Amino acid sequence: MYNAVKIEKGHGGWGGPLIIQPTEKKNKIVSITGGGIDPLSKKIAQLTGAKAIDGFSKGVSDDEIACVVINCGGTLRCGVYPKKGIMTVNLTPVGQSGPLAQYIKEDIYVSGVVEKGITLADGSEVVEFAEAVVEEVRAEENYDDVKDDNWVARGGKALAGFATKCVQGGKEAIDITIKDILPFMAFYALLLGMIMYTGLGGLMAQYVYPYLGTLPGLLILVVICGMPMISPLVGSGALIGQVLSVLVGLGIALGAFPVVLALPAFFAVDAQVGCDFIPVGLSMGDAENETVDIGVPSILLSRLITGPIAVVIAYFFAMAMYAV
Amino acid sequence: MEILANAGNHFYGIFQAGGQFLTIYVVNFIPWIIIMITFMHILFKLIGLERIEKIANVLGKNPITRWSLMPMLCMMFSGNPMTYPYARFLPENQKVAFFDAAISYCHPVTGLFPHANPGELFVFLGIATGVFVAGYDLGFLAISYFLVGILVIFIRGLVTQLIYNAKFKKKYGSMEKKEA
Repeated sequence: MYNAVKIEKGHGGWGGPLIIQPTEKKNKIVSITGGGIDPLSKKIAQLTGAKAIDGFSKGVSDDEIACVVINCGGTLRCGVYPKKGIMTVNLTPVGQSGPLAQYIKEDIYVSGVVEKGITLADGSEVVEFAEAVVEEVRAEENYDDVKDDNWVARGGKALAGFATKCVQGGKEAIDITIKDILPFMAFYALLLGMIMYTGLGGLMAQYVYPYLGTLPGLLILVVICGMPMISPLVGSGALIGQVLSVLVGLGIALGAFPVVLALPAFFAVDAQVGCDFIPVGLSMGDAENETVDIGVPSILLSRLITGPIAVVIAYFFAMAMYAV
Repeated sequence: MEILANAGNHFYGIFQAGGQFLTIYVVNFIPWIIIMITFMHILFKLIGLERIEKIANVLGKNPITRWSLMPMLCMMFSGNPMTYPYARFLPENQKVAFFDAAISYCHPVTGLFPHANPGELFVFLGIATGVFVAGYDLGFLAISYFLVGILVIFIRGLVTQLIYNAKFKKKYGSMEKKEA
């Protein structure tokens, strides 16, 4: 008799949760991580009562596999088993990736798994095995071929782990660039293109930047952005802050806004930062409702005071630095 | 014929002007941002979240680092918005000031560490592009923003805490909250 376990994704992981239910035929947990059976496979074996096997030292036919445990960095193994229809547990937190990415689905694949992500599934989740008997299975009896890692295996594993981290870092950088950075570049390039082509830029250089590009000009801007009835409205997604920053940048590029004031301008366009986000952000930190009630007006009032202070500090810092 | 040609040229003109700005962004900023984010992701994976949480916990114990180094560290490693859950290391009456200091740092951090808040990069990049086009170095600007930002969030944390305390006392009579 085998128990069902529930496997959930860990930090940064993807997919799942999977319910692994070994049967009389599918009763092997195959560890394909290199260098013996990894602790996670042992834990799954222990909880389900199935047998953990080192996939590198012993071949197992596909129809005997209850699930595989891999440590694939996102190229091949992570797609091979889902393609075969085998439940796949990846220790490395990668999502749909590699040449077989289209086979990686939430109902057959889970990644970034750590030991505490593995629990006995309760009856409601595996209906047909509702009366699964929880049986103490001594883990030690359940593995084949447990070898101690030698130094070659350890070194190889460490190197592979490092290489995986490096490649993943690159992938994430490209992902972030495409999803989060390039779209904004496209939008602001369009905005600037229109301002410049229509001649609005020239008008602003004449009538706006000379006034904005002074300490009083920046202070007026920061007070407007920091007013408690305005700041939550203009804080949304930092959009207003970004647009103002782009416009100030245009003024600097046109030579109409003094470059010395670039630093105080950062703080002048940003007094409202996150004002639309206060209740959400506070509840992310487990703040109680009473705290949020007092916290929202406290922060809004604080911005009106500290916004101008920030501009003045940055102004004197910039002046002092350029004087040196 | 001429009117039609003019209309067509103006139509293209707007987008070509935009394209020139896009070229500035992509050529001058994208390459180092990609390399930088790659490096940071590798570094953070090697350091691990547990260590950062331990350090943040220690930094939260006194008010000076709670409104300066703690938000800076959390923002550098966890970014926006995953910095705000760090408030759970703090007592209830300190969460608001920490949050205010932390969220106020989500743009100063991006000058040096764009990975922390890639979706709101243009608060820095907008002005920085102008400075760059005008022929100045960005390194000085970015590090000034980073350092002055720490001073600013410290003052903001302090002021918010004082206002919070005052409002709390006004509502509940003392700093001890009465049980409902």
